[in-house]
Amino acid sequence: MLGKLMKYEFRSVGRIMLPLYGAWLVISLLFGLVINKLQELTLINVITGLLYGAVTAVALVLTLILIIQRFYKNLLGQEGYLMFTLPVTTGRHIWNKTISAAVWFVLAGIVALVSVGFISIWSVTPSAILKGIGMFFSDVSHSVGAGGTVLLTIEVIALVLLIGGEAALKIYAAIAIGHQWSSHRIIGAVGAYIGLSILEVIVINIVFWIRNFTPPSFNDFMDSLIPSQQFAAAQIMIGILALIAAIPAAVYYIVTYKLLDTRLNLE
Amino acid sequence: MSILECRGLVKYYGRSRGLDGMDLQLEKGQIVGLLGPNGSGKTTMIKLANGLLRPTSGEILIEGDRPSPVTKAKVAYLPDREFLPNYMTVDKLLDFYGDFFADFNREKAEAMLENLDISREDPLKKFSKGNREKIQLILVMSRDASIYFLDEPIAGVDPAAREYILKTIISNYCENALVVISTHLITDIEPVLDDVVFIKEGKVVLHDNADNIREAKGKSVDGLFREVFRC
Repeated sequence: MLGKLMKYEFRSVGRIMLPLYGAWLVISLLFGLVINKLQELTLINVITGLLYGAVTAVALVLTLILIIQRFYKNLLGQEGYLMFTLPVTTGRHIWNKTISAAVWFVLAGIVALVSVGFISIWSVTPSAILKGIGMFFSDVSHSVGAGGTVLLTIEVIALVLLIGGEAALKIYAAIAIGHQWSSHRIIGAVGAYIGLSILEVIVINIVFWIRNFTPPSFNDFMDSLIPSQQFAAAQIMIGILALIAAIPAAVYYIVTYKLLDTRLNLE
Repeated sequence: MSILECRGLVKYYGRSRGLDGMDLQLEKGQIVGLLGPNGSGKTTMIKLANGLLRPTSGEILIEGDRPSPVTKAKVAYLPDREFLPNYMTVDKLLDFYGDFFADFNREKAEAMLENLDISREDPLKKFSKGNREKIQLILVMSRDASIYFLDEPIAGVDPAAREYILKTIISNYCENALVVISTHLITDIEPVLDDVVFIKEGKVVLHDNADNIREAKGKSVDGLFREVFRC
């Protein structure tokens, strides 16, 4: 059932986001062409640049808005009458939205990077860009080995997805808390989001205070290690970051689950 | 075992009462009218049966089970509002119902849509309100469910559409199923009802066979309703 939910979720978001991401890439190509051909500042330069900036902002903001809206409208709006009467558990609904949000966050990031690549594609050949990427990976591979490179790549992708999922779950928990009010639910959700953010800061400060911990400079720390230690240190670092994302994500999941499962009250 | 059972069912929304100790047993193979004025608790009871609300106390059982994905797989529900994503085409909605409900009979739905000349390629938002309501009803009634909950299916539609909706309900539910229709428009719905349940202030005040009411009390269900719920 999770697969079926995800199929409809991706179609629903994709029908808006994919054309927008397409436009984003086309405009970045256009912008790249213009600044490559017209070296000095002209009106066309400025207009295409502004257009690129605008489409970037719209794409990023819309990704966030759609992730919020898909949860709010699809589960807690009128469509909730359909979704919550499907033979699907509440947990599956939350997983569906979280995975989808994490993937769209990551996709937006990838399209942003590719669009930057597209801007430079007219002045730097595609093969040079690929060569640059290849060199980066061979550098990494040189210090941690081929297996280590694959492992690190997978870990970094998983970490980014986890952080995206945590960000989405925090939004969902805030919306679920806002849903407890019988009116002004959006204001309630915004208030809850601010409250959760404050709570996060307090918890982090308490943990650091208890551990009497001062974060060391990352570069100094890495430079003090020999290559084999660097790989182990990177593993530990990724593990710690994963934990920092996973703990609040689990808390937000439980809050969202409990509120939707036991205190659902559709308008 | 009753197909639907409420035992001391209570639901409070904060301090306001939705249901106040409802006891009810309904058997399969009949069409039951859940009748009561606005705010009497009809929609609350149907939402509880569909797992959209949790009871404050007491319980509601579908074939002996509390509402869960298992009961949702055999309960077909038509809410009292538009509930389908309106950007989806009718064809995609048929796919959606087919994907999630094993008891969905697509051929039946397609035949009914064809009878109404409804284009399956158009998104829901392109249709008139009346046609959107018919499409919703067709999707719900094309399931071979054990229980159908139809919440105010004829409110807000013209008399011709009412006739179509009632005809669709009668000719499409399985013989072994229970159909629960909630409404306050009794005259239109009275001819199709087997059993009648009157709800007042969150409680069942009468549960009887429609023919019995007419014979024993010498008045129509509508007449009795006006008497019981006189303001």
